[in-house]
Amino acid sequence: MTTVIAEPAAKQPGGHDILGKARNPQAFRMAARNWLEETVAAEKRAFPDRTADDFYKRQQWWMAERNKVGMATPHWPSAYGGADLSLSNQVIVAEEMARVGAPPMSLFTVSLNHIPATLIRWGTPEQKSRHLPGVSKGVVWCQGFSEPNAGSDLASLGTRAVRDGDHYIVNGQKIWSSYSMYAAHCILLTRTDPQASKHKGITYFLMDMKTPGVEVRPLRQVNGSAKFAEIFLTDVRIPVENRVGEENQGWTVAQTTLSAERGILAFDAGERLRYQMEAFHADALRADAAWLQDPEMTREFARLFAEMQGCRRLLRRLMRENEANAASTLETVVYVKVINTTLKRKVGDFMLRAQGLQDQFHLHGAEERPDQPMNVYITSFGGTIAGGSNEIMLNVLAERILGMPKS
Amino acid sequence: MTTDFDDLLAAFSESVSEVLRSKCDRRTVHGYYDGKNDLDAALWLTAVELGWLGVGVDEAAGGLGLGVAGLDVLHRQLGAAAAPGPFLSTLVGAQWLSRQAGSGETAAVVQQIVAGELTLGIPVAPGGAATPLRAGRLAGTSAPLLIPASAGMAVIEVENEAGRALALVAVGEKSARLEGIELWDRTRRVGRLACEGVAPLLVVPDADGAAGNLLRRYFALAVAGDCVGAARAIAGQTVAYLKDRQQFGRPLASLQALKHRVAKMFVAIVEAEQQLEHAIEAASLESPSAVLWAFLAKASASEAFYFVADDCLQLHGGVGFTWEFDCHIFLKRALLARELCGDNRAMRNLAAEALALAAREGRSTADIAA
Ligand SMILES: Cc1cc2nc3c(=O)[nH]c(=O)nc-3n(C[C@H](O)[C@H](O)[C@H](O)COP(=O)(O)OP(=O)(O)OC[C@H]3O[C@@H](n4cnc5c(N)ncnc54)[C@H](O)[C@@H]3O)c2cc1C
Repeated sequence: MTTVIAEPAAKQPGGHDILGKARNPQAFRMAARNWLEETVAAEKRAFPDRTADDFYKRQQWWMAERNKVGMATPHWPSAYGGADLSLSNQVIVAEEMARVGAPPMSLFTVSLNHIPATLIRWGTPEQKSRHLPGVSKGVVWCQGFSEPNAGSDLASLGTRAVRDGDHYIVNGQKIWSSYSMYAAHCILLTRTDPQASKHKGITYFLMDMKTPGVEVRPLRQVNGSAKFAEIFLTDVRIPVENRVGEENQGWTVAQTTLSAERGILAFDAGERLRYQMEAFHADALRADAAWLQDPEMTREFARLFAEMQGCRRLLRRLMRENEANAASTLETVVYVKVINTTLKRKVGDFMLRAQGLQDQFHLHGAEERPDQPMNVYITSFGGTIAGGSNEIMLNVLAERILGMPKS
Repeated sequence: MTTDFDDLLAAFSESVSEVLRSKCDRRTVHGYYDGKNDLDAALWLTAVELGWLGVGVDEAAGGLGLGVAGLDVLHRQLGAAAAPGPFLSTLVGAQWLSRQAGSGETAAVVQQIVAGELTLGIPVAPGGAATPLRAGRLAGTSAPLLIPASAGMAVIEVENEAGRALALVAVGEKSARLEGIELWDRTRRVGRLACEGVAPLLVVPDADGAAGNLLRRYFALAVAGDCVGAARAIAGQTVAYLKDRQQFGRPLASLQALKHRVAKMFVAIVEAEQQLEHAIEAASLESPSAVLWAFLAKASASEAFYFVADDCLQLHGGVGFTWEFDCHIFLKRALLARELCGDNRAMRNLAAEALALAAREGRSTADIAA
């Protein structure tokens, strides 16, 4: 029962008909590759030194380029402006993006994944038609779930929302909200019933970040760049029509949102790691790097290379299970989360040891270069902490998959 | 997304598991360990009767036609049961022999194996010392072989004027004599062959290392399968034990410190399984990187098995420290597995060389078939 609210993604006349080849995997891959190679080269010309200051512009530029060829939200259902791109074609796109080192869609993570997952399942027709088409035009969303006192124990969140006629009045504080300083909208979890048990008194909202009383204060991250922020909320008035799901049903809605982190996002990271490792190795061979003479190091590289490959297979299994809605999906999600994020740390650490002192020198703008070993290493903590920390994942594995009793 | 082939594999796996649960239960394995039964021979007979030995052989030739993947299923189940018997060396040797084309004799030998009439020995760690071969006769004793007491033949590494080669020799009173070596792991048999003056049945030149690599590739995959099967089994047993065992008025399984240790075992197992699956696929497709992935899978799988078996003993407490309990049987199999087919340093050295070669040639080794 979906209402058509957007035209299917346009097949582009401008030389790059990618979606039109969706039926033929090889042709689709080659079309995507040609477009990507051209566009990434153009990106390098447009933003030769990738600084923190032009991050937002680069991301918007990239989204606009994708939109031109219908590749902004091709994985969405056509009823919502997507192209119903099959899973195998999504995999091809992710592989090709990683191959050419296309900019990751960081700024749009929530817009591209969490928003469609949540709204398609729970949104009203008005919410869908108002918000979904904006994503391909570059509207940035952020996620306001975590609070200073509600991290792993998210359900204990305390930001209050009180009904006042056709509005709710919200007071509280959110934290670690990625890219929220750039965001136009926020998906927000609040407490509406402090008396109910903690999972039962939560309500989910779509919040306009320009509403009076919303104040964003960026926080600098470990590598020096400020990509997440605190959000202070003081008497913020949110219209009732911006509520998603019923009052006090927010926890259930939030589960749908969080499940959006399970698929192509992790897949993308795994594919990128492959090319980072291959490039690192090829560069070392070209430069006759010292670590190649140390058998302990070359063995470790071989071991990590195998782990990377194993992880990529696991990611493919996850994609298949996601599509089939298989009962084993939870299990695979947990393994993928732990293995993929831990591997990135191990590879980063390896690269740092291999390069030695040289990589302790901080080159100007290094924080904007994801392939730089220090960045591979130190941003990997984002993966192991966020999205359900790896310790929480091990709890889930022990309790829900191995059936060990709660502590 | 299961295919008919996956269904066949799953059915084969289930039927092997069922048979092993009844014929190779833990009590019987302990009995074998203490020399009280002939489980190795009994299992071999069962395997022959049920056609397991032909799992990798084409259907046209009377086998089950499940290829490398089918053999992998068998090795995983044998590992899970800590099964003794001539399986590893015989099945690996047979796979290798069946690829030595051009000789009607090898085909006959493979047929004898599948029919259960012949078991084989192979080098424990191929690539080691080679026995001199002078004027068609062997001079000396072989390097250690993984070899059942019943072995009728063995593949050994030899060296003649042309360089290294692999030779098939007959074992017996009138030919090469088997000198057994006692192992800590009593589920496996190792020995040397005294081959003074013996003429091999077959000599396969290996100056370029291709024939030896093929043997090692099959060996690596078999050991890896055995290891992941075994690791899953003993880890599962440990979870069950922790749920059962009460201390401080609650099951040990409710303690988070122990949950995390167990969860990490399963993470290690899944990683090794994925690497093995990749290696199996590369072998099935005869990819140029098949050897590389087999070596890496063997190293990961035996390390994961060791990691798991080591901690499982600790998590069983005093019970785990006893001869009567299963932990030491698995742990000793894990320790031997690290050495089988070559130690893991050697495995990864070879893999690192192959990776560097491919990178220099501008070839990627990391493509995954759609
Ligand atoms: C890079 C990054 C981006 C993020 N982006 C967003 C965002 O956009 N929106 C948003 O809402 N949030 C975001 N987060 C927040 C993230 O979801 C939380 O950091 C995460 O849930 C952990 O909560 P915490 O930081 O309060 O750590 P805590 O919960 O305080 O945990 C501290 C340590 O204790 C461990 N621990 C906690 N509970 C247990 C337990 N039961 N058993 C064992 N160990 C335990 C944890 O694993 C961790 O190691 C982001 C975080 C990071 C790092």
